[in-house]
Amino acid sequence: MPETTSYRQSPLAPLGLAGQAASGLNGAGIGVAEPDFRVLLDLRVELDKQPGAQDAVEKVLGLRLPETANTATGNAERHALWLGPNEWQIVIHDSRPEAGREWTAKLREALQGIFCAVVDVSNAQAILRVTGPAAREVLERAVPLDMHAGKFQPGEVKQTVFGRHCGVTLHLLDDAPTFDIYCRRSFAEYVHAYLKDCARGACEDFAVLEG
Amino acid sequence: MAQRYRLDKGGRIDRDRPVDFTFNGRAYQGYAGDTLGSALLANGVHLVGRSFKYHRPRGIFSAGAEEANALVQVGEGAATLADLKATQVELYEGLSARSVNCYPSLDFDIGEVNSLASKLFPAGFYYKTFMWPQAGWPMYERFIRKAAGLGEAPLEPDPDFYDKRYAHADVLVAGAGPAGLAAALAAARSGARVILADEQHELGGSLLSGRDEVDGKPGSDWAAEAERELRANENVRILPRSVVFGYYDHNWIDILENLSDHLANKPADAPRQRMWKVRANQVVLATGAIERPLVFRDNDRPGIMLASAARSYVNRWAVRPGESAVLFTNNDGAYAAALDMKAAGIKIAAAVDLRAEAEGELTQAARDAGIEVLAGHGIAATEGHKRVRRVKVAPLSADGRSLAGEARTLNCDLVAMSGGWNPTVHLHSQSRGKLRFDAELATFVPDRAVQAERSAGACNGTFGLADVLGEGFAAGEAAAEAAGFSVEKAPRPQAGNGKFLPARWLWLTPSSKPVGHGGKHFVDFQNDVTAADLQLALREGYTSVEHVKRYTTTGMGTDQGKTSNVNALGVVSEFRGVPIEELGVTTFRPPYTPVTFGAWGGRDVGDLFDPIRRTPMHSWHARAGAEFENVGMWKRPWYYPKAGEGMHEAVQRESKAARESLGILDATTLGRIDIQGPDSAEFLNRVYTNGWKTLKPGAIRYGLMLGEDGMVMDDGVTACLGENHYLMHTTSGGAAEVLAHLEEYLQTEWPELQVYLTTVTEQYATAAIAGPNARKLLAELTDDIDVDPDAFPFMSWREGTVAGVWARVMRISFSGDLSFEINVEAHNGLHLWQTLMNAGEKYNITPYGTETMHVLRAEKGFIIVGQETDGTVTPVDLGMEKLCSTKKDFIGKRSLSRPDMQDPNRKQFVGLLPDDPNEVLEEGAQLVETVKSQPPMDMVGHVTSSYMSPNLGRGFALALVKGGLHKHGQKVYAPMPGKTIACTVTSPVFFDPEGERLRA
Amino acid sequence: MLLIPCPYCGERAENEFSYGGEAHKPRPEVPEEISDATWADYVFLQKNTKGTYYERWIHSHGCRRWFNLVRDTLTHEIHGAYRMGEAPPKVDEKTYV
Repeated sequence: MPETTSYRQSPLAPLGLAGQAASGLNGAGIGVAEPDFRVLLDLRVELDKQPGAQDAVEKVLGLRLPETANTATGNAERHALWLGPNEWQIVIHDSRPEAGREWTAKLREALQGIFCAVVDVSNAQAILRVTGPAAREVLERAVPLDMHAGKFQPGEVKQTVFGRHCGVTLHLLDDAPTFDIYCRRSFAEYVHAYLKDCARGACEDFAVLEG
Repeated sequence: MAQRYRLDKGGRIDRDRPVDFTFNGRAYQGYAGDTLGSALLANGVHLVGRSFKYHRPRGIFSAGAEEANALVQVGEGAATLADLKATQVELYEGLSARSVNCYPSLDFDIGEVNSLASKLFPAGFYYKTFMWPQAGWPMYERFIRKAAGLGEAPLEPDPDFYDKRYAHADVLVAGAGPAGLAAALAAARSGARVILADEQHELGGSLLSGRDEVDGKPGSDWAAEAERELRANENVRILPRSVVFGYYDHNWIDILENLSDHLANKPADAPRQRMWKVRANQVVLATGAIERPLVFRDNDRPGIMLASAARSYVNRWAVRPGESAVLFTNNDGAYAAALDMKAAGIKIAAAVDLRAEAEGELTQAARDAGIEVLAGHGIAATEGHKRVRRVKVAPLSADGRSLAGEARTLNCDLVAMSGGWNPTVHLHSQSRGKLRFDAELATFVPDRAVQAERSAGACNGTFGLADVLGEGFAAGEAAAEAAGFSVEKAPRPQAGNGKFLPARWLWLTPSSKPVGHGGKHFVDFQNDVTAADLQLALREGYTSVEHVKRYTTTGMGTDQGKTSNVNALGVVSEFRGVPIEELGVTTFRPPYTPVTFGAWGGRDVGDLFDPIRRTPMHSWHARAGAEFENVGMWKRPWYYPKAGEGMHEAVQRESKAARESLGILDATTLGRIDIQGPDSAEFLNRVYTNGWKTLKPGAIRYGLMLGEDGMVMDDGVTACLGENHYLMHTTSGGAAEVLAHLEEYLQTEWPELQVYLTTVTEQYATAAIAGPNARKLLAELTDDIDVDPDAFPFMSWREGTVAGVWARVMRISFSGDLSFEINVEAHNGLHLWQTLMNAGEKYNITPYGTETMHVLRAEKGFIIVGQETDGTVTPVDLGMEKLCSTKKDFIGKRSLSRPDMQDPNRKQFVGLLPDDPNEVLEEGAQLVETVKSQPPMDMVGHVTSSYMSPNLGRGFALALVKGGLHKHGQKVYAPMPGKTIACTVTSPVFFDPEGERLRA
Repeated sequence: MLLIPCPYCGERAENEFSYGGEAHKPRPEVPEEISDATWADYVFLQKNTKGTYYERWIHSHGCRRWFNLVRDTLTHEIHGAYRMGEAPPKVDEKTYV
């Protein structure tokens, strides 16, 4: 039975932001959007002990897993984010409801016989896309990382604690700068409200952007 | 006359911008650029406060953060601030300030009787006076609270908001005086990221108050140029009005930045203050030095101030702090103040100099200027109640310990005193840096640094301006190099290099009577500690300086001994006849100056106090009017009151509906861990008490998890999803802890096991439907799951489509009735819930919250970890010994065979039925077997859960009772205020003991 | 707040980490065979050295890997971090009284 997209409610949907969303910053220092649904997979494998894994992943996803800590590989549609020495988050821009289960199955099949774990976490996380010239200044109010342009560059991925007790993964996409922030689904409204307050503390206008 | 004591010209004030303000209700005028302190002095206001203990009249005594007397309360209502130093408060239009610690008014203060009765308030008087009788304490406390305190906290919620942020720097420079500016310039020129913070609104520090030249121009011009260069550098962040107040491990620094306290019109949507949490690769401390007062009889009268402060008021604020001044000094440097005062038209009655041979460059200049220098003299007494009127000066004996001649009276309204200088070593000390006693300067200077920090300038004991600038540049260069930048050495600016020496170190100026027998020789002005108090502490056996500090309170509180610490040590050294360097020094603690609670809280207040975790169905619960309960950070529906219902009625209705027809619970918050890998079953075997190797795909098993101490730490069901693939459930509150526990064993103890754990708590939303109609409802919403009891037995799961979306349905039960937990992908959680609610309407589907969940499970005797257990309960205590495998090891097993775990008299899990069925025991109530007329009684256990059950038609409880497993049928009693509740010990299973309903 | 060098992610602020107590204290292979006293020592007692201490941390808000740290418990000086199974760095050990 095919599933219907309209059944799904995104983590930030309860905030009803769609009505206020603008297409650009319009002078705001920071803008936040909730992008469309994505496939998010947690992949665990020891690359040095499972020599076939990189090729198998590449065959399915067209990208190789980054082996350098705190970095990502991929293109506009797919990313592999380094989460740990044997853990990656695969991000696929495929918003179909069944896509998470499908990609999980594909990847598991490709990795057959290799000791690994592929887990669908597409629904477990919220995604906030943060952009704007003040994004680094604003984020420095929420995370203890050094957000200076020389210290956190496009293509890097860092996991840290956001606000109080909320784990996040920050993926810097470009020099705008644009960050994709991944957090646990249940924390989405907290992260959004916290960012807004950080912008207030930085005396920067906060824009709600279209996803 | 307005600003009668303002000089005609000069000063760093803007005479085109007069500023109106009030102090104690009276209107005054100052200028932009004034502090409240300089503006008050410009208006001739010297009496500004009352002292802490004796309520003695006090005046402005400094020109900066070291102010110990002029504490004021600023503003009214919710935004009022207590314990501000008048010498730091920037003047703004409409500022309203008042004295603290006086009642009913500053001029007439009842508390001043404390001063007359000061024999009753010696050091340690709290400890002595208020110890007996014990019953009097509440009364004493009221008295103490009224008498003490440094202002009032507002009663209303704080209307302002506070920013808080992290920052990172290659080089952080604390203090923007000559050394700090030089260090910042040097570091910034290397390309390093620099943060330069200064507590004042203007950069320049001592250059703003003195008359020194740098590179042939006024020092303040050099500072302005330095500031311009720094501002033009994008790697430099300049923070004025920002006090570096805390220095912690690994160069972690706290800075409090004031953003709007100095503004007349405070912007509505901007933060009032900002807390900076800075990680600095290298730190340069350039915090300057604080002048030391002299300890002499009645040295606290208004009009007695530090010589450097008097100089600052003249030079920086163009204020005459008096008409006729006496300089009282032990060093050459203080004569600069006398000279500048004289140049400003203040009469110098005399310079009283403790040095037998009063010599030095500035001393000579003073003599040349016609100032009378009384060498080898001291001030033996002062007079004047609300302002000093005259001083008695007398020659001293050769050793300086007694008077050696007739006293002479000098009329004056200002005494400018200087006892030398104390480097501001607070931050160095906070960083665990050692201090060294410098005998030449008679003070403590930084010794070895422990962290990546260096002190430069006066805070390092360096006082000549040329040396200070040179040291600043060198420190900035060294810091930048240490942070990995290459440095080109800059030429050092030209400047004079006069130091304040020579000096004579005499810690206590003698008076006609011994200390304690006439007048008060104040050492710590803020805490009202006198030389006599220190003497008393020593006499009573408190010889260690740490003990002296605590017994007398010297150097404590918001002041942190800025002006008192070294003098206190000097006086103790004098009394004990032990050199200061052998006494040691007490530790300086953060914060350097007081910090508002608002700044500490930052944005983590109100709705953002802690993260609030919401399930995908949260909005539905909120619309349905649910009351929420905090479970960890989750908001869970607690109960859903209908119109007119309280909690009791709602829970009774929900409990009945879930037993009689159909209830629905949001179980999304349960922790879920995906377990994969060939050794998964072995891993489960090790972490749970029971066996897992026989669990087949499609089946579910309950597990009990222990800590290595044998105590229950979590429980839940685990489903076998496929070959080598499991899904573990944890309690809602225990999810993170359990995952950390499992990862710890996997990564540190058993790295050979091929297992991966992934948290999937949030991947799924779960609706538990429970009650006799649960199966009918499920059947209506699925085509591909066979819900027949034989096809879908208890403790199994099936995958399929429910309500049009992918679902994994688990037939498990925490209510004790027929129940299905329907798991869907979280984005579909709200859809599932709404579909179930709509379709269940015909069964009167009733949403129930955690309270009803607790009642239902308690009726079945199901434990809740954290409620029935408290970290001291074993599976045996719970009667769950059967779940502990004897065939394998598991975490905690070895502990279960320790002798005290075998004790038959341990507290064990039972049910309780109060004799009176309408009685509901209080959770936590203690239980006894033998009731006595009053405590103590032998307690045999306590109530862990207690409810009124509509299904049982009576109150019931769960409890832990000593030896309870073998006491079913016996009586225990809960003695409560006014009554004793008799109960019978029973099995903890009250409802459907055979489990027929949940297997239906 | 300490600055902790995660052996995988680099230097990070302490609030990304959780503490795990004494390192190099393996769980007894066969708990059944050891005495109550030895077991109690394993479960309840840690060296808690005032000075150089080998301890476990997990980068809980980072890569979620457990690792070992050598830290001076008095000065908080960190002498090195190393992965599970690796040998500790050579450290001039100190204890204070």
